[in-house]
Amino acid sequence: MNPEQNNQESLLIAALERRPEIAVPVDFHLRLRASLAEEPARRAARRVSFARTTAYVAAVCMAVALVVLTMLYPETIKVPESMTFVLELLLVAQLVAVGFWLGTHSEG
Amino acid sequence: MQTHLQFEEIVREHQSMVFRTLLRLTGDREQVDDLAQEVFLRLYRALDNFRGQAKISTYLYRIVVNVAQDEWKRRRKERAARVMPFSAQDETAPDYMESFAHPDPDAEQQLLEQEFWQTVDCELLALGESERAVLVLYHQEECSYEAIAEILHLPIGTVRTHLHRGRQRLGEAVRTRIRPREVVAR
Repeated sequence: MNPEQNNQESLLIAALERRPEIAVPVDFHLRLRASLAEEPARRAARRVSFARTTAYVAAVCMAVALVVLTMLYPETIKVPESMTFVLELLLVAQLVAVGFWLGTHSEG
Repeated sequence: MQTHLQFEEIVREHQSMVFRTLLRLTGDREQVDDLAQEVFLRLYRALDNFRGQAKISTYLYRIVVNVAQDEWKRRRKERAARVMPFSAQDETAPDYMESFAHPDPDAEQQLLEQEFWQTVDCELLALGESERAVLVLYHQEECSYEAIAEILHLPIGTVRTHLHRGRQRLGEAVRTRIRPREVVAR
């Protein structure tokens, strides 16, 4: 690079580094505030998360099913006949826990 | 209420950056108010989802670049015949001329310098969107490679390439427009 090119390069960099002067309009805040007032009241109405709702519903269904089945077949609870049933109960409990965690887990 | 106050604080703190970056990226002084408003509206809408994993300035730069790119898409759709750089548009405005005033001005030198700046701004707008954004963020806003990569969702290597290539193209374009003696005259 010759001196002339060097000079041009440094001039170019200086021009790029120069910040354009622009004044923020005095009424910018007011205009922005007016625009915000026109925004739908989305903050009042909480955003509905599909995943969270599904997790809540699934957890509730699971708990209800567990209670209903226990009431319908109380003898199986009293005398577990097989390991399979115990494992099923464990699985159901785990799913309820997962559903609860998903439902309460903050997205932020 | 807390969020609203927080938002106003953010606006106060970052509005200058938003205005000047939009001006450099779009080259349109007339519309910069509306675009800045759009930037802050987008930020306001996104505040609920802002998880704090990025700095608010990085997040804002990302919105600024997106708004500028949307503006360019809109212009392309409207088939705007010609691009008006911010400096060329307002050269007749008294406040614009005053902004370049120098305490001990050499009139000719000042004129050449002004012409050079205008050419750079004009040719900057002729670059590709990514190159322009990288050049403005790196040189004007003094963002690091990492920050630019985060803002533009690009790998750091690509940022370096855009910067190098953009500077090269800009230099070539400016050289073809400015007479050599004028540049060297400084």
